[in-house]
Amino acid sequence: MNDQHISRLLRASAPPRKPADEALTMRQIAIMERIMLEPPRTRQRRRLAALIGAPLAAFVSVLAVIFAVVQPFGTSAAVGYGPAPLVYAAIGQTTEEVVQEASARLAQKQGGEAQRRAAYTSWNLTVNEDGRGVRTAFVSPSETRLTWAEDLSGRLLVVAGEPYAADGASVRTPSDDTPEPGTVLDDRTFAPGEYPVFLPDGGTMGAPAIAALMSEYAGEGGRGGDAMLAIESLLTEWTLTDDQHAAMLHALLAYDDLEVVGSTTDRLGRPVVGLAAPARGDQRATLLVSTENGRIAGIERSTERDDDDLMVPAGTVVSYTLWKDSP
Amino acid sequence: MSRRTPPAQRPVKEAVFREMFRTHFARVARYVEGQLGEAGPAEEIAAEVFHVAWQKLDPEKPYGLPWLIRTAMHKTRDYQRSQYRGTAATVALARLVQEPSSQMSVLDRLALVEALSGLSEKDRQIVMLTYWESLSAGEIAQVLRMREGAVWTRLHRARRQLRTALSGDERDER
Repeated sequence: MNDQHISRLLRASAPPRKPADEALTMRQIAIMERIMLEPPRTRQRRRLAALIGAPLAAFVSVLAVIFAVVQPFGTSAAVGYGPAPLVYAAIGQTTEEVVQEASARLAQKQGGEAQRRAAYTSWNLTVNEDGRGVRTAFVSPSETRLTWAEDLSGRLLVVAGEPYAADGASVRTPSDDTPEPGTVLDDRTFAPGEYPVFLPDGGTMGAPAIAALMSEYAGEGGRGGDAMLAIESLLTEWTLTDDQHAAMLHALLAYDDLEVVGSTTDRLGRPVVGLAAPARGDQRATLLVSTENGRIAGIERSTERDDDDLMVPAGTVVSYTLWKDSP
Repeated sequence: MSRRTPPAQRPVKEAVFREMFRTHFARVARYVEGQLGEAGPAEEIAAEVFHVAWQKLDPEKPYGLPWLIRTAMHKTRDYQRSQYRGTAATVALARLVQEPSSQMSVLDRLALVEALSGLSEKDRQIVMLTYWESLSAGEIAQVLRMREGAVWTRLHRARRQLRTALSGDERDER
């Protein structure tokens, strides 16, 4: 027996398993999206240490700890960590009525095909390396434009959006390090085969497939807020048809924890109605549905209670995504 | 000094993470499954690995397979400790006996398991990463924090040891 025999024997002994290059399953995609729900940590403390020296950074850290002990959650969710929560006016409708009304609007113009593109304004809570939310005076959203093709070529363009004061004040001037609106922050081109598509069949999904996808995302917990994550995944990769938007809304009705929070104007100034439900990680997801055309206009996530990990108070908005397109 | 996350960071991080996940998740889950000897918790443990990767991800320097496998190795050990199991390699060998590959006879399988059991833990890891996970010596060096030369040396030694053990079996059969 020589080395070649040994090598053949060892390769043949590998446990039989699914090939690693197979497409991701729905469950695996749901796992990935759940992971990305959590704000990624920044490396600010390392940068701080590099800039002003470790001793001073350590001193600042001590001050931060003292502050955290004395006042762990601060005084206001709206001012400290990001945008103020949207304020809703009661509309006295059930979830079924809201969905029926939106469906009626969506049914007014039939036709059109799903498109491999997405355009949205988004913002996420900044989290430092310790995993704690970072206070900010200005909210600096980003504008993302994604286009991709069936051959998996495409382009992802991210530009700076219009910054605004976290406390809603209109007279404040953003600090110098806030990028000018329109500044190109990232521009990536994908050659054929390079775009990492996760829902390649999203554009042709019918109502049953959409409901199944949402159920997969909701998992065993069966929370409506987790099912909304499937909608977020679809819409950040696809511009879906009105029928598909109606299917997503109808599929949400399967979740008992869904409730109507009322009507409001979203952060792009559009009239919407909010449907909210609990989500993983003691969060609350609110789906914004346009009262003009019935399409899903956005999603916001906030903390349901004081978050001891992020060290932010209940009600803190941790992210929002607002879609800006139609097929 | 800014404490604000650059607005571009999130979409770019997401794109980089998606690519990393798409490329490596199944491979990492497969590795964990091989170590545990069961498919059930493999995806959840792989998910923990990618959760760490997401938290620490630098879009300019995304993690490669060796880092992910190394993290998976630690996560698998944590899981086994919590479940009061044997070492990963022992469990994997036990599985090799229980779940035969169609390419090997029962006698060959039993002989190989016995021969692998005679290797040191480190050498057995190197053999499994080489032949079961198809990692290169350079990748294994990163996973196990060793020099590449040391991986080659140990692999050579392990193969020699296996050859001796298996040749002995052949002689016994005669």
